Amino acid sequence: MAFRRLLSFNHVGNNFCRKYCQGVASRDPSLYFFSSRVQELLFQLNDRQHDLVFKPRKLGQKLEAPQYVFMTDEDLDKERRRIEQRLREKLQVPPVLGPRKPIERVLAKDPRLEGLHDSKLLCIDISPDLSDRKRMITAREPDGTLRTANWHERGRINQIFLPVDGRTVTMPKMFEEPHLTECLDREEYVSVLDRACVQFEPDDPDYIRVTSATYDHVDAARLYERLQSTRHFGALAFYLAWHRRIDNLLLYFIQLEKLDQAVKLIHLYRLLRSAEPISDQTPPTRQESSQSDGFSSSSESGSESESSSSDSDSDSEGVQLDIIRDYIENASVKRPVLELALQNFQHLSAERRRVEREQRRADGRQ
Amino acid sequence: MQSVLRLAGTMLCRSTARPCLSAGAALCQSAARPSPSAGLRTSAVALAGPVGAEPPLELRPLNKDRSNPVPVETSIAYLQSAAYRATYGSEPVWRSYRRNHKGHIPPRKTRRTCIRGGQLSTGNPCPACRDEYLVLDYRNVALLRQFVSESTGEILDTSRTGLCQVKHRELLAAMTKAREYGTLAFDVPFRVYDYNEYKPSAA
Repeated sequence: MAFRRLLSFNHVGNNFCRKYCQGVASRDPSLYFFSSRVQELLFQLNDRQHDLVFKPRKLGQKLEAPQYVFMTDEDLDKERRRIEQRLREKLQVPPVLGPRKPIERVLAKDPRLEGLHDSKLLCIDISPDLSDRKRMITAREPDGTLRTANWHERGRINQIFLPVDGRTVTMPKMFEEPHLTECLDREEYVSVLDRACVQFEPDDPDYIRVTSATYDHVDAARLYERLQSTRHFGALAFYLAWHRRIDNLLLYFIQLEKLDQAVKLIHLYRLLRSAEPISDQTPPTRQESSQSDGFSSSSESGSESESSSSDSDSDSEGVQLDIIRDYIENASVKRPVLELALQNFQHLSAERRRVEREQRRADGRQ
Repeated sequence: MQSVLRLAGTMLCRSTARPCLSAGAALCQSAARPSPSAGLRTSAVALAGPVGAEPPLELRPLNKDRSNPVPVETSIAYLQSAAYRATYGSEPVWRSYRRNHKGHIPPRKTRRTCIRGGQLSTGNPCPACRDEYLVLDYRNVALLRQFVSESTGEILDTSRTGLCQVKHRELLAAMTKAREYGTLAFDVPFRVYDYNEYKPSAA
């Protein structure tokens, strides 16, 4: 596959936008990613199993014994709210950005300095309160040109003088082929993605290449549960919805009978397809997650919003099935497989309802 | 001179005279039998294995020659073999090793090296030197994992493993390479993003 070709990480001037510039126009995913509606959908699509989200990382730290605390009801509520807050922090999705553009700019040309040094000099402003992305880093070439440093030089110098824990100055070989493919074949997805998050900036073309390769591998192998309850599941869902390849994930949700997740995925797909970047002006509504507006329209009018809780399960299930069926008929690629899965689900749930009814009748007689 | 390696530890009574390597289930056909006074030895029943399975493992005399290093592919195959299982079972290779020293507190550092001039030059060599088929390489993940703490992810110190200093440094080099090439998965710190740094500036 084209994206797995080895790239030298010295591609200073290349604007590698192969992955995120597909489609009709080269759209910028960051215009959609930071919208609160998209963020809420990405959070809801995650399984959020507390055991897996809060699994401790082995970082060589001294282990502490667990604490057992007596709590009042108020303390318990406070603790629950704190856990919810920490859950959101742990499931923060890594930002999805388009590939970065070159930032080299010549500041001055001093031909009289030629021959003074035989190597390039890099200068960095190491003030601690600056953002690494914005701090000034300049380069003096041997021919006397003073210019701003390119992204590759910036990454190296930042790591030397202001090191980030877990990051290396040079890109680890595990992110080059064939080692990356070997890691993915061993299904170490979370390990690769976690390390990519630490090593690269989100708009680094190497980060986009590594994460795209990982998501493609997960999608091909259908091993979505490996990323469930991690921060990367949201990024995976965004990637698939952005590239209009949600069919496999949709099938996965239908087979697990998670229709609400399937509906959320379709909603995310529609949000990302809209021509206008989503603004945060209009606040999100509760009913939005089950809209069944037309496939091509980007309007936000919810004609069939989700029923209130007083309706029976079968009614809301019916609404969800309508939404899914609408997507399958109009937008899906794997139409027969999805229709079959939906039919199986309907058959199963009808059987289940029939068994429950008979159970209730039998209990009533007793 | 003893033809059989005698281990100080008593727990593992099967490693005194190590069975042959059976990489690919081929046995080395060494003929010499250990003497009756050899001390602890692997039980013949344990070596024999189930009836009708692979041919039974044999004991062979100790080989002190380390001038021909074993290729890493052989070592990887050895770790999956019946010979390895009979010798070490499911425990790490260093578990049964006990250092010999004066007094009840061991010296802070283990010995510098067990191998001099291409030969084992000590009695009671360390766990990595005594078995020439244990090669510390970044590809030999099954072996490297035995030297990583399960609870904290740290590389175990020589005070626990008993490795000589040269082998410990080889282990550290192999671990660094394993992390570089990604053969051994390990945890990295959780990165917190400040979204304000990455949001597109308002158009």
